[in-house]
Amino acid sequence: MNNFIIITLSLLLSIVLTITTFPLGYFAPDWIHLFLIYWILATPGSIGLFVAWMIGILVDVVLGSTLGVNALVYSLIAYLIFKSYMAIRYLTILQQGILILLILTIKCTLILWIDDMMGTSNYTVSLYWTPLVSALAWPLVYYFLRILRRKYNVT
Amino acid sequence: MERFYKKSTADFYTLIFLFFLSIGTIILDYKYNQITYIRSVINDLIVYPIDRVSNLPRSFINKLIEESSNIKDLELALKVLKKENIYLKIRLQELNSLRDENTRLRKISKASNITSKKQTIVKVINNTASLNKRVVSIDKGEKYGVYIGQNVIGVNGLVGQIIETAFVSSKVILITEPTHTIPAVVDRTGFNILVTGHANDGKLIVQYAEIGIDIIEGDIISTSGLANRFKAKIPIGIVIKKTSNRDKDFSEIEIKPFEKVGQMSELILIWDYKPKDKVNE
Repeated sequence: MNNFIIITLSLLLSIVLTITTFPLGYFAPDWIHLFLIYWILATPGSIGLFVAWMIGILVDVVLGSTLGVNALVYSLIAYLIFKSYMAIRYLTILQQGILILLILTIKCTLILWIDDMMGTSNYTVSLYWTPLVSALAWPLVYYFLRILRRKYNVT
Repeated sequence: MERFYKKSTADFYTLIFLFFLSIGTIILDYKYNQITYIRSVINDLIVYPIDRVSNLPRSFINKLIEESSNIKDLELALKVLKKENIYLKIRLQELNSLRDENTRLRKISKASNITSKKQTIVKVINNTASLNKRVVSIDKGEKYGVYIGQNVIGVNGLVGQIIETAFVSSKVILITEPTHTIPAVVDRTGFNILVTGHANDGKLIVQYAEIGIDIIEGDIISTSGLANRFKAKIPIGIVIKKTSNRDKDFSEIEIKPFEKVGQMSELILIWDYKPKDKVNE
């Protein structure tokens, strides 16, 4: 029960952060995805693929994109991290940041590709600032959520 | 080992299922606009409260500033407003007689009379409601009968149109959004043009105007009502710059909107006009 409350509250916090950092445009970190990746890495048992998919739908509503685009990408990335969380866990925080940069860059490209197929994309190179800023914000998210996890004993 | 294998294939099949589910929702949302109610429900339950909460500090600070402004300033403002009120009343009398004359003339020419009767003032609850588009969210939704495509104006001119509605909130796309285009007309000549938003905030441009087009600085641009998107004769802005570059095929025309689009705290919805084509594009 503790798990559920803490994870839900932190994800709500990530949505608040996303909405309040909208004015930054592409320089805002991808808070929701960073939070989700942390919880999958730390407690792979508590978040399933379905939950990742539903969070993706939520992101679609928050960002106003076509329903399902982010859901698809979120469940795909969640699956990849499920399969390799053992390896990722033992990387240093810097290496994890680089990995996050790669994952989120691929994510941006995938979303751009799906949007382009529907003719709703507006491509700019500055789109790729988001993965970079997110990778820089990863240590912050990591340590903040680790404190939270240890304090409330989320397993 | 066997158990591990089972578990992994189960995950895999879940992924495949979610993959097709996503494609299904994308098609339903994009092609048929069938599942907008899911969007509305999530918007009302989660996004709207968060919007409200994240807006609290800002509105609190605004209130503090308002209360701390001293009485002399307020008296001065009152004086100015009173003067303006008298001036406006005089203008209104002129306008009333003009309106009567206009309706009489319209009766002769059998054209319909276009004046807005019902307006609703709405509050902006989030000035940037999207990551990459100029969209604001407002505090009225389907509960008040707000519909998609409804024209949104300010006191001085056009601001945008409704693109998404939930039960208690909705989203307005602004005319300064670079992917948004308005069918417009030059008031002086009656020439039809297309006005598009620009990456620079607070500026509109006409992208495809021929070189010799009869537009000069100071011309007033308003909506033409073509394509049944916007009501006709809503003022948009004033031409501030025209550059005819012989190297390019078109001349560039810059328009300054009458409203400070994007920095407004209150908007006005008009009700007497409904776009003919209700589907998104």
